[in-house]
Amino acid sequence: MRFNYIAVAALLVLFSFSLLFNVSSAQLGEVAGEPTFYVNISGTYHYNYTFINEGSTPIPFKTIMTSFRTSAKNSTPPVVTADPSYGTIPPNSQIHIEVSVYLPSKNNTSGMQWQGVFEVVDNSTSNKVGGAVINEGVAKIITVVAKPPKPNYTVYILSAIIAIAIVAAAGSAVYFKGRGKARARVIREAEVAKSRAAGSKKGKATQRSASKSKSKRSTGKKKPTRKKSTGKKNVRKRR
Amino acid sequence: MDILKRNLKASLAILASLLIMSGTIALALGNVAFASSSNTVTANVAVEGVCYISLSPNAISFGSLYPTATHADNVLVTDSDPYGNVAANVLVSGTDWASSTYNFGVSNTTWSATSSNTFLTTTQLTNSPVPTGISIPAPSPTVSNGITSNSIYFGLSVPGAIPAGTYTQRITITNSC
Repeated sequence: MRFNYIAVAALLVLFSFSLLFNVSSAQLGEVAGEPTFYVNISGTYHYNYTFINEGSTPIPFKTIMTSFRTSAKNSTPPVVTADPSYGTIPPNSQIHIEVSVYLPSKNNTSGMQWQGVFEVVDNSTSNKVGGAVINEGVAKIITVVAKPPKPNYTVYILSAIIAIAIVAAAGSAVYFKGRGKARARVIREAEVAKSRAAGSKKGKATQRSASKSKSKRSTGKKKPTRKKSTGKKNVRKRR
Repeated sequence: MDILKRNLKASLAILASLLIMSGTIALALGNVAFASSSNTVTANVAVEGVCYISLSPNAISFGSLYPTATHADNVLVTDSDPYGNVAANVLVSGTDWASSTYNFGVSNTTWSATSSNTFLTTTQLTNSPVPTGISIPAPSPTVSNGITSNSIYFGLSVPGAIPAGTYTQRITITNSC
């Protein structure tokens, strides 16, 4: 009977120890999926990866990004960075790491492919002198496919603004020129009309004076005649 | 007589409005009672695929070896997935062996999916991670503890005429899913 009690107690102790071991250990995990990034040449692409700590102790981590390789010769590989590149995942929680892919344009054409590995490694393993230290981690195999460069809308917008400005300037120049001409014509016409009006006034005045003289003649008074110019006078003047 | 008629009309109007009001209230109450009795909430959740890693042991000691000696690929590392629900592929990489005075190449370490006593069937370790072809199956809820695992074996070939000393290497094993 006593032996049974001891056996049960031992089993309970073992069970509690196993439970403690399972709960206290850090467990690094990742959300499944290895998508292909279609990145525009000269463009940047961002993607968030989720990494999980299922354990009850924090996991200090570091990210490792391998160089990206392709079968195409002389191509420029994408520049891939991770943010944050190191840190600590709190117990029973998850973190998002943003992976940014920049694809340079030099020697790269649409359809080219690169492949590399992005690792999040548990950095808690202490340095061991002699032998091999084994770090555990999770990894993503990243495939980058080049897409044609995106049209630069800024350049388009700027050129459109410049074109509109040029058209507006030309239009306003033409308008003001026409307006100036019309104004000049109006002024000229006004002057002509003025001079005509003045002329007609003069005519009326002469007519009036003529009619007066006529009436005077009829009364017997002589109208003062205009002196005829002599040729001599004219010659003198010319001299 | 007129006053009586007017009073009758007014009282009839009040009665009619009272009836309409009570009907509306009853209808509203009925609606409330009906809604509360049959309202349902639809709950849904998208369970994502995840994989984990748990290595044992976290250090390998190849013991004391002489130059040109080989330690066959029989050092076992168990890679477990305790909480995942999808299969994981194992990648492996390492650093050069280093002491305070001398380094030798990472490729002197070899790995294998099976235990062997020869270096002919093994693969040399590299600085950049490579897929091993070793897979950790997706843990199944029908399995009692829901943990799946697989093994990777390591071996070492010590180069000739290297200085005596204690050398250290860092091996990285990652699960990818």
